[in-house]
Amino acid sequence: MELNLSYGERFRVSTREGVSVVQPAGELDLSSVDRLRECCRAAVEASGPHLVIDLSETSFLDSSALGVFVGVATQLGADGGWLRFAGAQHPAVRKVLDITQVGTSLGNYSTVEDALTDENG
Amino acid sequence: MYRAGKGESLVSSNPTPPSTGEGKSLRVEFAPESVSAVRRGLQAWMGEVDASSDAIEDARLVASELVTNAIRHASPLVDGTIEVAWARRGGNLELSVSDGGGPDIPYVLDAPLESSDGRGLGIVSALAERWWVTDHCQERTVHALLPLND
Repeated sequence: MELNLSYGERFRVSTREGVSVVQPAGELDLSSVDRLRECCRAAVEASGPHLVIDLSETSFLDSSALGVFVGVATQLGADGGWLRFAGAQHPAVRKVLDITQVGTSLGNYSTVEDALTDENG
Repeated sequence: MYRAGKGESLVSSNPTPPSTGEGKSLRVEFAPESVSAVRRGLQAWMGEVDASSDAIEDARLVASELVTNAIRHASPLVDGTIEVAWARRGGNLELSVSDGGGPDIPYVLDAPLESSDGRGLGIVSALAERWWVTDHCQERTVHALLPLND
């Protein structure tokens, strides 16, 4: 089943194997945090406490946007779920995930498939 | 000059001496939309001075963090804006973001992994050669020295 919600041009939400996949496009910073949070909440309400953030179309990410993902991940963890990153391509995005160790902490997978099929964690 | 290490922040009472070499200074609105505007302006200037792409990416991220901190944790300057300036200093870029100050002197938090806040200056610390804070009249400025070429 495909569920597609549109939040402007920036966020695409779909469902794969029963898990919501949020794909933010472009640059994520302080001006995106409210919509990003709303988008993650809607995705979790639709499909449950597992969420993959597909960063393949994300060209920039700073600590304010990262904080949204960490906040959502903490909530999902408390509900027995998880938030995982997948597909980070852009060097700036990969660097932020590395420096802050958030990528290692939450899981940073090459592809959405890898994130969905990892049985650990 | 002062170096702010992990978990500490030093404030100098003297304003930074004027920079040598070209640069730019702009005032932006005290609003979330200014964060990307500053990134764009800085990127354009760094492209003109032939900065490396790695240096541009790092500077964009540091600028984003400093402007975000100003909006989130401080008040605007008396005219309601934030002032952002950058200039060449030898082979480096000095980036400065001035606001009206906040309740706390900016410092690096040792943010727990599950915390949704407190990573901004940790990122600045990791990418900048050094960063420091100056207070002058009713202005507080956070400066960061970054490479122009890697």
